Amino acid sequence: MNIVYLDHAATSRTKPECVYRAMDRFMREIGASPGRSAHAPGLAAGRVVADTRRAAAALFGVADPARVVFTLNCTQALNLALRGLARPGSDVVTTSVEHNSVMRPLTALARERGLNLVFAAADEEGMTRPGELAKRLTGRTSLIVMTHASNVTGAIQPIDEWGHLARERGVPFLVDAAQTAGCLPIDLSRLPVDLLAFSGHKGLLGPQGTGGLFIREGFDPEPLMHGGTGSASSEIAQPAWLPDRYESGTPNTPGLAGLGAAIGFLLERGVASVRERVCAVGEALAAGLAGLPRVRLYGPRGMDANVGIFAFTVDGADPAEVASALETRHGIMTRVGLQCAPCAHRAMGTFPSGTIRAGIGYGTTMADAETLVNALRVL
Amino acid sequence: MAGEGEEWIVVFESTHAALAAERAARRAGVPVRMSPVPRRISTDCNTGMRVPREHRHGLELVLRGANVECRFVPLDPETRH
Repeated sequence: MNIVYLDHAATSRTKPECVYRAMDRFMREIGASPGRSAHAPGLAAGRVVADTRRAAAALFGVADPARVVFTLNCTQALNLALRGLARPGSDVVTTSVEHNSVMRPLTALARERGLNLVFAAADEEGMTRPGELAKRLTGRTSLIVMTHASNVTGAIQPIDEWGHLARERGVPFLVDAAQTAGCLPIDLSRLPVDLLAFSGHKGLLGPQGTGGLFIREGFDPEPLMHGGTGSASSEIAQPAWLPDRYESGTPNTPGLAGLGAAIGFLLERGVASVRERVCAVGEALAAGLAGLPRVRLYGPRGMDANVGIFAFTVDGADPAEVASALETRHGIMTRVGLQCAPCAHRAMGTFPSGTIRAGIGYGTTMADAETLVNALRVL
Repeated sequence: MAGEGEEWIVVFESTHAALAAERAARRAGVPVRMSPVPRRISTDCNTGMRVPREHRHGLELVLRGANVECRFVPLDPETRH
């Protein structure tokens, strides 16, 4: 039985061939620590990291690559930004559709620092309108954080409008781009976003254990970790300059080698071109699912408002049973349950049983979409 | 005479800056060689860039154009290895 992998929202499974080659080459031919020693393999490792940083900056429209710091995943990048910027006793505004990578650090910070968490509500499609933000901003707001696209419904959020509002009020604006980096064009030279956290292993097509944070000039979050950077070695205080300030300890260099190759692939193809293909498959899948009487679809159906995630339930069936049958009978891999976003499911009325999530991405074919629709038809 | 060594070393605050400088130098065709920085010169970043005396001024222009912060230090011929 062929495997139909529809869990790209968790991790893109099939990577461009150049990703495997870059990681293999790094492990076999370089294999040293970057940024530490000036011998040949050490320098080669440093160049791998620098090349990946430059590629990420180019992809996101960032003029100075040093403003892109690498982390082990998007969650770590979000923790860095949230812990580094949320002022004790202040308001932090977010949305009701956030992933636990935002909700849990905020909940912990509310306890530790007395933050007041303010939630902007999403509409029935999982979209958070800018008006919802405007009425929640106060003089006490120290940070606004929102996802670029819901990991539950795929709803693309209006970060441009939110960002302009944040700018008008002088409040730092942090965006969680876990679901959109590599999937949607993101131009930070134009977007009013102050910090952007991204994952390397989803739409960017890199390996797990990679991610990063863009920090606009003028923003100086406290580091999440302190430690060795290979610079200012005579000092016991953390360096003030980027990227060293936020990159203590030996990084996942094999992963960054793969990520660099993946971003190079996307730069060559163009994110817009990859997106076009995903949209064609997404439109077909949405139409197919909408034609099934027992299937209830949540979130935006049109790909103009959906990053490529289709959340659904089947009348009279437990989502876990449906997902299990899809895999065992048809070889279709989906993600079932709450997708680490309980608040989003509460807002949609699907808590606690959750939904079945089909996440499409690079490599998903029309045939994959048809297989899912046909499988649900005979379930 | 101080400042007139046969070879100079360029020191940086970070490896990120050192590798950005190397890239700019190579693109401009300036012959440079990456090497460890002697402790008596700096304990900042371990990675420095050596450049022959005759290319020092050209390299300074290149690195200024690339916005790389750095410091040029002459290497004493008697202690150079």
